[in-house]
Amino acid sequence: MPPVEEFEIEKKSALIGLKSPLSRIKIPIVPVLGVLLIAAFLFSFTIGRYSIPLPQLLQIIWGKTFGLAKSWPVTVETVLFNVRMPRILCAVMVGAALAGSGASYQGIFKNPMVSPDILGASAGAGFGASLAILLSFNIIGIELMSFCFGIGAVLLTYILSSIVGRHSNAVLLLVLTGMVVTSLFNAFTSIVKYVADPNNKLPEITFWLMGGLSSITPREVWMILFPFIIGVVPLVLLRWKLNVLSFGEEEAKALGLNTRRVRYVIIIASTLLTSSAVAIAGMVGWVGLIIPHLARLVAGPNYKRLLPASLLIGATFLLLVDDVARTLFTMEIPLGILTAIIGAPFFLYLLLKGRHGWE
Amino acid sequence: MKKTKTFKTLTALLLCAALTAIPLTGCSGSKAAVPANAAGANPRTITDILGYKVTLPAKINKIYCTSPVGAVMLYTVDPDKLVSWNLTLSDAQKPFIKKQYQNLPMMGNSGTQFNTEQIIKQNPDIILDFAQQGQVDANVKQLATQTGLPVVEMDTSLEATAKDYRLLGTILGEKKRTEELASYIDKKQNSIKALMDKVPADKQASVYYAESADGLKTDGSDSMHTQLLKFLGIKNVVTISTSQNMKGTAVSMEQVLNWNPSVIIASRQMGGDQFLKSVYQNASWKSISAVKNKKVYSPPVTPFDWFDRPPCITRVLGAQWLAQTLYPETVKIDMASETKTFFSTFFSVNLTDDEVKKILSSES
Repeated sequence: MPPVEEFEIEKKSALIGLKSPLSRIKIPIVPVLGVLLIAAFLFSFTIGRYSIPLPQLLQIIWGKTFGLAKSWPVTVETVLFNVRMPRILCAVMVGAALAGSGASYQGIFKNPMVSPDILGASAGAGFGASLAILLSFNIIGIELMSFCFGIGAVLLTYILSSIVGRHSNAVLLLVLTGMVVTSLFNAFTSIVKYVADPNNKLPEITFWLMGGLSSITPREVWMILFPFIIGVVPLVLLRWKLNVLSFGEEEAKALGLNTRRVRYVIIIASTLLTSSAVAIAGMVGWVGLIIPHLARLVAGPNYKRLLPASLLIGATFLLLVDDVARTLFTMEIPLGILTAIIGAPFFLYLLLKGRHGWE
Repeated sequence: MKKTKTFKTLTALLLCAALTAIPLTGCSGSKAAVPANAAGANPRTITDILGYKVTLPAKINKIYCTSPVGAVMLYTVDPDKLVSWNLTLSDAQKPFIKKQYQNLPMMGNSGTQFNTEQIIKQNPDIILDFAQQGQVDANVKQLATQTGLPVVEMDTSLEATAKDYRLLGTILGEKKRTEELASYIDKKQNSIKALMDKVPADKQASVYYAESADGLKTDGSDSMHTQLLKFLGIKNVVTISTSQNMKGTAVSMEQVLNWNPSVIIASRQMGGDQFLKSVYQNASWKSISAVKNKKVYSPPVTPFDWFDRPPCITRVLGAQWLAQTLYPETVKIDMASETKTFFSTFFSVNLTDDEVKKILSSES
């Protein structure tokens, strides 16, 4: 992109309140974030409730890569490759998925308060899972139901909004119908919880809704991998169009963009990401809302850098938070609680920081 | 003109008076209902298990139990006084319950919400509540305030079971029946405890209680869900306190591998069947001593779970079952005959040998 245009974007973004104080410092921000993620990934490997001394860990990895004879206990290998590795991979993908779809939604809805569940994906997924638990489905069934209902809820939002407003403000209508669908599905979940047997089903549903990565097995890695790739690739490829969309419908049209089609593709990709993340990790709030803000702070408002930065920061953030969730106490701390405890004060900090700009 | 205005004022005043009168009469009506409800000449005062003094009507015809724990106990004494099961009986449970009591209405319970009007409609004389670790749920207190009914508190712990029965006998005036059941419980509990004392120290099992299909939800040693382990003095590897969270806690696979329990008890109601199917194939679980030695058990659930959920009287039988499953060399009990005796004593059901086999096998 020529520098003049880039300057234009930054100037315009400043006008709509997406100003970034660090954007003028010229450091290759995306590669730096990539290195941070790799560091966090390696660090996460060394910690856990089952303590593995570092020399033994290195010996196993060394032995595995070069196909040496096993000179370590099987249990340790199981912990590393069957328990810890899938969980780390899933934390990375879930974090990236939530932050990436959050950043995209904030772009197409031109609203920094939007999170990836705005169109009902989380509420739908939660209901799907609750229903599956009520009907005694197995684990795969629960995850699939959750995934399908997540997508179904967003589809419902989209259809309803296009029925209601044929030619009027499509973005506002989407958000409004999204709210309706969200509360509708939340009510359905409450009904399921009400009829569920408090001796067995109710605790199971409550558990699921709290969210967390404790149930991750290698199978879940495969389950999220494909929706993740299918969702992330279009977002990364279309990220410059998000710049144009975030200026507003008319300007985007004036620049010759088929806003409807682009919005459609981005919504599908983001929904795929959110639903697959919720299906295996439950409700993990705040990541999709605050990480894009943090990314904007370090990478600037240009989606060319903002989107990769969001993906990388989201992955690193959730990985580290999950490290705390799985290692701090004997019992697991529900991931959703931790992200809220960290997320809410941070968001407040952002609001306080931005106050000067709004006054 | 003036006349209309006076008329309007008058109407308004009358309306106001009428409106104030409604709550007044309503109030006096409900006040009158209380003595009528506490019928009979001689209301009695008893002390319940938690030490509360409760005034009861002389004759009790119906009891509303806030949870299945009380409902099951009351059924074994006098099913005619049972208002609701507080759970939906499954097709597997129904054959062991007399037909006329199979379809009692569901009225919510302390785990969710009460349907207060439905409860009042059944016109129970008292509310029977089982407190968990001495704590009375806020919604039970609220139900008592709303209905004006006396609440009798009992204790879910296994040690209190015989005591609970005796108190119920006093309340219902059926001491003969409850004494029969209470002395049975005393006898069985004392003998199983004596047997447990003989288990050699080096043979002691360490148990993990799996409460989900993936096996990673559990309850700590202080929870009401693991009281059976505590009662038998069996070590629960989960020593953390989880009682404040009645719904248990999630733990990581690494943590379970770290605990390396020698026995796993899988709750059949909480995904245990699925867990049992996958646990021997799962690479992570295969590293655990209990799985290596094929010591993953799921307690019988007929007619109510023998281990937990609800934590009711079938746990008396569950204690015998668990002790002889874990320590077959020390605890030699004929479970088939014990099961038959228990079913005929408590549920007036005579089991056939096939039925006993089915109940004791993990397929029931």
